[in-house]
Amino acid sequence: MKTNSSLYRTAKWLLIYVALITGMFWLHDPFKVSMDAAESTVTFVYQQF
Amino acid sequence: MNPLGQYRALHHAIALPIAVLASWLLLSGLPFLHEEAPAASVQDTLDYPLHGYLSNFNEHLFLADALASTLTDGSSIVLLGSSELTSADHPSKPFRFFNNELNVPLLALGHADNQGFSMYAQLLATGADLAHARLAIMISPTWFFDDNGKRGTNLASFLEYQPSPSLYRIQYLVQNGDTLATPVATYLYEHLEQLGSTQPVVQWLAREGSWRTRALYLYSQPWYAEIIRRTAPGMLAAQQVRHWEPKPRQPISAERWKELYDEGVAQHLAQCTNNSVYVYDEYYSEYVKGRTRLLQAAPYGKNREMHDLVRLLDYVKAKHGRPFFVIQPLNPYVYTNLKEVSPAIAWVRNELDQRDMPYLDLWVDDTARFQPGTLTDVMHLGPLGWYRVDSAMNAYFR
Repeated sequence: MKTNSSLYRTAKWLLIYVALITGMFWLHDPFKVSMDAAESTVTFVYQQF
Repeated sequence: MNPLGQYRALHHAIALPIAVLASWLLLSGLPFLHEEAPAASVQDTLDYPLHGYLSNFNEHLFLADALASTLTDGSSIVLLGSSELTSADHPSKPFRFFNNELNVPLLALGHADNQGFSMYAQLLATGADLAHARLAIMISPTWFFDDNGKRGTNLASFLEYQPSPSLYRIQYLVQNGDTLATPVATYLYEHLEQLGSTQPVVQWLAREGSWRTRALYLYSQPWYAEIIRRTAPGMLAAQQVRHWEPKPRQPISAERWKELYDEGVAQHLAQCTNNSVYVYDEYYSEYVKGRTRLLQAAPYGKNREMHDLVRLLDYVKAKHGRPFFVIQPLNPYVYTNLKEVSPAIAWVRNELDQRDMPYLDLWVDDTARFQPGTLTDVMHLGPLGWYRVDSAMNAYFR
């Protein structure tokens, strides 16, 4: 596949977006909610590092 | 835009929606993206009919569900209060006297700073009709004075009584247009800056609290609503209960009440040996030390607590409730300007009278009418005060 073809570039961005979206959800699962209403939703992300 | 730029935009326009779809399919099949169902792992079990004392909802996350049941069927007396419930312990305290002496199940709930708005929100979260509720509410005069009056219920205290399961119940009411619930959204909106990145249910409610944030977050509110919808089954679980059968109610004679009153006064006076203002020794030595105090009553327009009491009264009225209220006194030997702030208490009486709410009025504004033993310190009921509350509640909750 030619690296300057439209198909190549679309596939490249498709992979980047999939990686970003799945990575974001892996770091911060939006459906993981706490019984403590005041608990921060971003604590989990910080704890990864 | 030049042709190259157009092509680049086209690559993104095609790649992004496909990536969202592909990610969704990928994540749906993976274990780390899950719909939360945490109820089973954190459930406690409460005796039913409810009885005893609970400080807050921290260890009882589904308490709103149990309260909804008991307020609906009237199986227990529910007593909402604040710091008086945690002051010096005594058998006269209702959660001891009713459960141990009268064999009447009574649950007392609350500690310091559990003020009017917090109580309203606790009742709101139950969603219960109060027609058969056996509900009593302790009104503390200190709520209406100084900073307490201006500030109303503070956020930390509000959240102690509103774990996520309770707020999910309120969110359901707000989403379905229940105007009785909208003050909670407004309250959270007013505290938005203190909330930070809290749970989705709090953020959704806070953003519903103002037309400005509703418009500003128009793009994200449906997403939060979807998270709440998908996680609701775990949050709206029923409280686990263990049923028990109360013993027959123990009758109590007028003579016995008189004995208890006299015993209460004698017990209290025996604890007041280092002062003549009827405060027990340890409290006097640590907090009073011969000093007097002055109170400031903010006017109605600047007194948030007064507005919160009106909201609480209007709520119980709308829900067909007729709770029993207790207006507590302050020690007139230590608070020396009670006559000046008495109009605030007269206002409370008037609001109760207007709604035909029954109450026991223990307020006095001079030393001549103050009965030693009514208070144990400067603001918390003592044995005599509690026995008078017990007697009045025993007569009301027949």
